[in-house]
Amino acid sequence: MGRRRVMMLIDMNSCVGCMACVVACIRENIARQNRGDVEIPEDAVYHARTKPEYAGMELGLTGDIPIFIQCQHCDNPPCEMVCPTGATYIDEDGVVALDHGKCVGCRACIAACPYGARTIYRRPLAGEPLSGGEGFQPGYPDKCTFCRHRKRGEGLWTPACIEACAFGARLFGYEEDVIESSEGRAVRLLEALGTEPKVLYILPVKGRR
Amino acid sequence: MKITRRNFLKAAIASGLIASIPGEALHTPIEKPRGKQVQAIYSLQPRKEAKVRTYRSACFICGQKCPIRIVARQGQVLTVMYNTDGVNDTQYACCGRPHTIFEAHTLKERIRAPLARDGERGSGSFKEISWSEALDTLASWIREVDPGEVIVFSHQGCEAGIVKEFFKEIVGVPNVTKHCDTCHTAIDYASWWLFGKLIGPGGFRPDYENAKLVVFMGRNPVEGIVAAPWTKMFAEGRRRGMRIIVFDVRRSRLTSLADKYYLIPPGTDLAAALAILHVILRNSLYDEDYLRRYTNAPMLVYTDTLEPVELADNPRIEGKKTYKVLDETDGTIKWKTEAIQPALLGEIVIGGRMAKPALQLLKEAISSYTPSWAEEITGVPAGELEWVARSLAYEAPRAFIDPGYKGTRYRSEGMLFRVIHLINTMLGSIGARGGVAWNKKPKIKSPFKVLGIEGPGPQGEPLYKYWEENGAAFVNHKCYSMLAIKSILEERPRRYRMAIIFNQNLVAHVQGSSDVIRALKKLDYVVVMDTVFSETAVYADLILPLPMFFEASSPTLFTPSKTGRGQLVVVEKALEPPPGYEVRSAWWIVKELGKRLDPGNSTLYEMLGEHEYIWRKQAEDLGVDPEELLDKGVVTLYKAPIYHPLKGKALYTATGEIEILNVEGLSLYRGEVGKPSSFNPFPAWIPPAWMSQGPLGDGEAVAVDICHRMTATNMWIRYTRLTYSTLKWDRMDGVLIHRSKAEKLGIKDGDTIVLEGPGGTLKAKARITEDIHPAVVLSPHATNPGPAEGWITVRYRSGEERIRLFHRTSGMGINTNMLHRLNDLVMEEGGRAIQNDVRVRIRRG
Repeated sequence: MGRRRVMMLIDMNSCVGCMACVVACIRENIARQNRGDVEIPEDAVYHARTKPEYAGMELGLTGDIPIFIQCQHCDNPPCEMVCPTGATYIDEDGVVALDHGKCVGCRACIAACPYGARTIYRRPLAGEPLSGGEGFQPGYPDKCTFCRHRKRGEGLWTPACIEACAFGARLFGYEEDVIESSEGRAVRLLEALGTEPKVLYILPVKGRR
Repeated sequence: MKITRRNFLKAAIASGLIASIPGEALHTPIEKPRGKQVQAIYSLQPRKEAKVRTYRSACFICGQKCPIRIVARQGQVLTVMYNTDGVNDTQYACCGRPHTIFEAHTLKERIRAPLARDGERGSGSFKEISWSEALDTLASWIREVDPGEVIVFSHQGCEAGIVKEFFKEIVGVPNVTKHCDTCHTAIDYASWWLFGKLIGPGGFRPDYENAKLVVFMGRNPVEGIVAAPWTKMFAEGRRRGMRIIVFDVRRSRLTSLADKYYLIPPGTDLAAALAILHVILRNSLYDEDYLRRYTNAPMLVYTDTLEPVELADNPRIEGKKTYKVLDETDGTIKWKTEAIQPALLGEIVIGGRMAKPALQLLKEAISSYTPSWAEEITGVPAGELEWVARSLAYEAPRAFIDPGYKGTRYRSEGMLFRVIHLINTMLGSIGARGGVAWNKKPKIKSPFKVLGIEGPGPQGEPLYKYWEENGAAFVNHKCYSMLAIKSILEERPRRYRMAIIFNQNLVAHVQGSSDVIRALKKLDYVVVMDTVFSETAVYADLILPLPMFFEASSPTLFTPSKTGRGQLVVVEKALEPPPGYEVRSAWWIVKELGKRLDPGNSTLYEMLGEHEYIWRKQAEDLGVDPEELLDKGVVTLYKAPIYHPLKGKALYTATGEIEILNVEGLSLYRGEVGKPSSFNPFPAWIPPAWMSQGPLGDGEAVAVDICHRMTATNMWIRYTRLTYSTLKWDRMDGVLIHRSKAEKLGIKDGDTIVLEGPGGTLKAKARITEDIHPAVVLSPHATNPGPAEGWITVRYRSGEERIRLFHRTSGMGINTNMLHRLNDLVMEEGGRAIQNDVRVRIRRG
């Protein structure tokens, strides 16, 4: 049996857009809590690794549908294909990771991502970057890592956004369990591209149910 | 195994995984930092290995007091999560706001030490003084003035109750007021008409979880304040298939979730509600059995004088009345207590006088409010309004119009919520599962009562009594902040000399900010207790700095306001205030003041610091195991809210029933029938104030402020970068103006515009959108400081510091209070505000 891969499910029926996941992501990944300094970059939400947005045809949806812009952790990630240094790679859990130690800041990944999920912060920040190779670093592309720095040993871990959501809108687990929990209601964004995202959405349901 | 988030979290919590992750899984350092080094906002002590601890607390950013857990290590917030008792998970939640506390801890706008005014009042110049000096000064002022010359304003915050009780019961101040007249008083007023008592929105519990259809007018449970548990129930309701229909002035997250929504002109919800009630009555879509059993719908009323035909003591319910009805079984008139099938409709001549059942009169009174009539006002097609009414009736009693929370604050709002209550009554949804249940809230013994600290009680008459004799009605005796400002200005019923303002930003929150500033300037002494500088603190003579809610434990247990399940919460200190910050909790201030003003009870005041002792006593008093409470940080007292139309007993009305025509109201306000008046005993169209002044011109709009998902009434959150960044992300970092209006006025996105209201002028940034009704200009509440924008200069002992207030939100949005006048308040509905009912002129700046 191969290694089990992780997946995230976001139920937009339960999500009320309270921003808890976004702020938790900023705290965890951007605000440099680890080093003891609290610095929040200007326009922090723009640089959060997950943030709410309304999407339409550009992501293959009909109308203005609330979703989250974040790395979709594709099985066939265009960002990885264009990365000239191997800084973007898929780890053993299926997480699309980014090693800043190898990143040269060419921004090809930003251009390649069809989901607009990558950001880059160009201003300076005080203090040291967060984590070994994956922390938010000014001048370099940034992306969701499913908070894989929280992983200890084998097994699952809890991403900050999952921990913060009080409304049960996000679910993180092994691929087969997440797919089973979605009860056939989940969709992948821009599925026709063949990117095979590992972030699934249950879109808002309207009308008699 | 099938995983659910709940199972996963439960397992994770049980295994200690979540609590340990943030501490154990912190990032490993990299060898070489990149990026230019600039000064951090605030640097904590050098990192040392320290223990990770989980603290049990509650969020006090809005009034809900959601239980939260703060995981911290050595002054660093690692995680914030909602706390739950593990059993009633759907009743527990927190929104995004408390997640900002890691930034709030270090806000530059925080007040770091006790301050005395150091220049002209309002100049923004202060100097640091010691706590001893500050408390001696305050004690001497309190001794100098008569308690009747003092007004205590208290908004919310961790210990507002302690402050209020101390000044009212111990110091003897008769005027101690909360803020609800700037918020939900219209909703309280509406409840009097049907339920016989002013009942705040916390009295009701919309049962979203079990509902099939909910209509929202003037309420947004997704972004509003005091919402998180309701929002969770709302999410749960949607999961179970609840449909929602929204009437609002803007598109929002709520409308994106709605099955159907309508953008309507501001304050015209009442017209839509009247039409819905009209359809329900015209087509007999009401619940006849419910109306007969639980309401006075069959009560016979003479049509000439509008008096009940006869009232008598109810033999079954002590202190309540019964009345004459027409019994359909034999066509005779009987007491309701004796009738088998009381008639709901029809007419009968009694002694030569025509009499009709209350429901018949109600039906006739609203016969002109047809969907076509409402279409003219709201723009919602008549057929759609008919459909909404029929949909509600189809799903009844698991369908209702939300009874609201924070008022929409239009002139017509009191009547709107009366009509909403009437519709819910017609549907039989008041007290029904899936309808509007009644809240159950435990009464927590105050620390003063636990410790046996007693005082003389209020010394003198409260000022609302004067106003009740001079034009005000339905005053909530705990909430009359605007009447208090009016009293200071007009020196009625007496001259006032001192204001003590606890965690309340009067200048920003009270309608007519310039009037509030004039009032503060009239006083001899203004004392402000707050965490951050604000529009109001600028006018203080003495400022006492409070810790943030997560920096202090509280001597009292709390109950989250609105779940209806009686949750008890412990508030622990999670973080130390930053080094050098001389902040003190309200209980400590009260303790020290008590020792100065009431030295005989010094030992008892010292006991206010024994928090665990008080918690245990409070818990025991409610029959709760203190060990369980202290272990979990939260317990749930009740299995369910009250599912009974009459709250399980007799209501507060004369008949003890839900009164669709209020017996006392008919007696007091008979002369108002047929008028567009709050006192009209029948539902009636009252146009919003802006509409009474004629059609809006091209250069005019109605200024509206809203609750945004990352703003709140506890105003320090405005100062956070996180909130500002969210506003910007949402394109709410300005005043939203409709594209059609902007084009007519030559306004482009980002232009500075000037808004001129009857009480003031604001400059703001235009944000052009098509997501609002063209009649409004709109922004999140209090995102424009108006005249308060500027520099504060503080001579701290460590050196002078200049703080630029509102440097991010300068000239950004609206504060409708700054555009309004105090004297436009609604005296007949408790002297409440109509903050969102202000017509403004717009021009390019």
